[in-house]
Amino acid sequence: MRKYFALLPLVLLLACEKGLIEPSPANTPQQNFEVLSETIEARYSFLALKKLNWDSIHSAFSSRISLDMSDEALFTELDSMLFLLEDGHVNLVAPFNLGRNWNWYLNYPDNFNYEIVERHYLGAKHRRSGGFQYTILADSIGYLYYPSFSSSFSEGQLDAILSYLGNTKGLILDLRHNGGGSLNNSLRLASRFYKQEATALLQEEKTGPGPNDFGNRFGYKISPSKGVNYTKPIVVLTNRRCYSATNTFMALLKTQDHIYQLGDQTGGGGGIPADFELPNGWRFRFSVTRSLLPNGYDIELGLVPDEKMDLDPALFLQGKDELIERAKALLD
Amino acid sequence: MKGFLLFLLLPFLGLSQSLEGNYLVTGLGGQFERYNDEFLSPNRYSGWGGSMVLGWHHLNDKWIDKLDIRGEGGWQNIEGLNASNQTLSVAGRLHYSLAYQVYRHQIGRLFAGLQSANYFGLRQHNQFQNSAYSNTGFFSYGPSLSYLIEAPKTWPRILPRLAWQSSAFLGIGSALMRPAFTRPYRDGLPALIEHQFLGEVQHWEFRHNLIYRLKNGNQIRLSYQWNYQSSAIGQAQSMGSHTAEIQLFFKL
Repeated sequence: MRKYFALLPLVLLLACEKGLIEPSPANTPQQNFEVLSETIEARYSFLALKKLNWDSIHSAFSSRISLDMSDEALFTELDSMLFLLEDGHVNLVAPFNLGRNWNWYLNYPDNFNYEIVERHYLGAKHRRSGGFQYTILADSIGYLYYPSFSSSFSEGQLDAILSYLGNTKGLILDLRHNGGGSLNNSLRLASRFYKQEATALLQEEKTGPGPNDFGNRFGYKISPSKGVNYTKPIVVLTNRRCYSATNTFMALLKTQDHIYQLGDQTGGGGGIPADFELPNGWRFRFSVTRSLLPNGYDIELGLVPDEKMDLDPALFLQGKDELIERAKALLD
Repeated sequence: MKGFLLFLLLPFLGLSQSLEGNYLVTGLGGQFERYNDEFLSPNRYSGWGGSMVLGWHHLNDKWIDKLDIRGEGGWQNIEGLNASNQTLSVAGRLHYSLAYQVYRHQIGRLFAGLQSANYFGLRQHNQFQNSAYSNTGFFSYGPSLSYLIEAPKTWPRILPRLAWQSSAFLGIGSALMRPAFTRPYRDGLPALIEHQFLGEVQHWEFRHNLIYRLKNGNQIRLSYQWNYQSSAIGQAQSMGSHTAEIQLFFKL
């Protein structure tokens, strides 16, 4: 017993985890390709919605990967494969480039020019607070421009803004070029425009490797805020650059019948992104949830406006924003 | 500054010497951590960080027990790859152990008992901070073994004031917290919470202390700890850490 007792310190000192923890996979082009392909196939949430046959995509790209290809060539192939997902939340990040597919807005008209808005509608004396720019237009119509859901705001700021706009007969909420940001800001702002409580959106997460393995459904139930709310007619202006949290915000407003969407379809981006890493250290990002309207429509595809309208760029020269003019007419 | 100096000098003041009694435990140290978290990356990461500890320690002629809470933090990079990828990790550990003396021979004492070893850590990658984060929780229990060796009083000079204590913990069960298949949290909690027995999870800890008893009964300890945790549930993860600390034990 005494002998073993003396050996105990030595045994306990010999502790190292290196042999117990799985080392990194081999950093070869083929291995990088396989990690990317397998992860997307298992975790990406929109393969079924977008009717993508990942097996055939994998086969097609696998033949283009070779052991001696350069990093640039590997990036081109991997990025080309991810491009097929047509998802603004999908990126491949290497030290020398950011892979992306931004056709969700590049293939469509902008329908927005901030210079026109600032010079001819907001004016020199417009108010600014918490990322919002706002004023009262002629004919007592409120105009509220919010360029990014990344811009945070307090409840007090929202109270002040909506109190100022409270005596107007209608509100133009301009979200054009708002590419998203904080989902929490979307939820907080939406509650200011709610007349009655509603479950506006259902979110599900990818729970398994199959294309339809979704679960943990969560309903976004929005109630009118306890602060100052605006429940008079509202026209929301959207274009294809309305993405991610902005797309979600528009979805939340779809349950309220005093709110009218005007302009172009939103760009989509209904999945919350997660990200992962390749053996060579490149990171990639992709959607892992889906969000559905109560009728089952997947908002990844964007939200169709109540009234589709594109701007005539020629009218910009006259300082006219046809979407704002149309919204004023609707509210007047 | 004066207060801090007094705090450092406090253990050296006084006249008595004995390992037994109640102690307030404080400590600061450095840490090397190595991990693989399949929720974040297929790669193995490692790097350096720091730790601090606050606790309570009790020893009498039959029992030894200890409660401590430890904060850890550091940065890790991919092993063997010259890339700027980095994760920031912060974690907390809460331990309680109670052991009974089962064997005594001259200068050595062996204790056997139970330990609760609890760990919760967060990791965030330096890219896409809004989407590249993971969590790990191990709330484990199991047997612990501890032994204490005190230098004989007949040894010359400072040696009688030296002692050595080592302990080992083997978790036999854990309440595990991890991300689910794709999401780290659900309703504000880690998405996967379940209890597992040894086999699906491993949680081991070894601690070694070189103890120097001061005349007033306070102690200075050079402490080394090795922690290892692994789970194959959900997104698998394994992590090990080596922590070296200077600890001051204030006799209460």
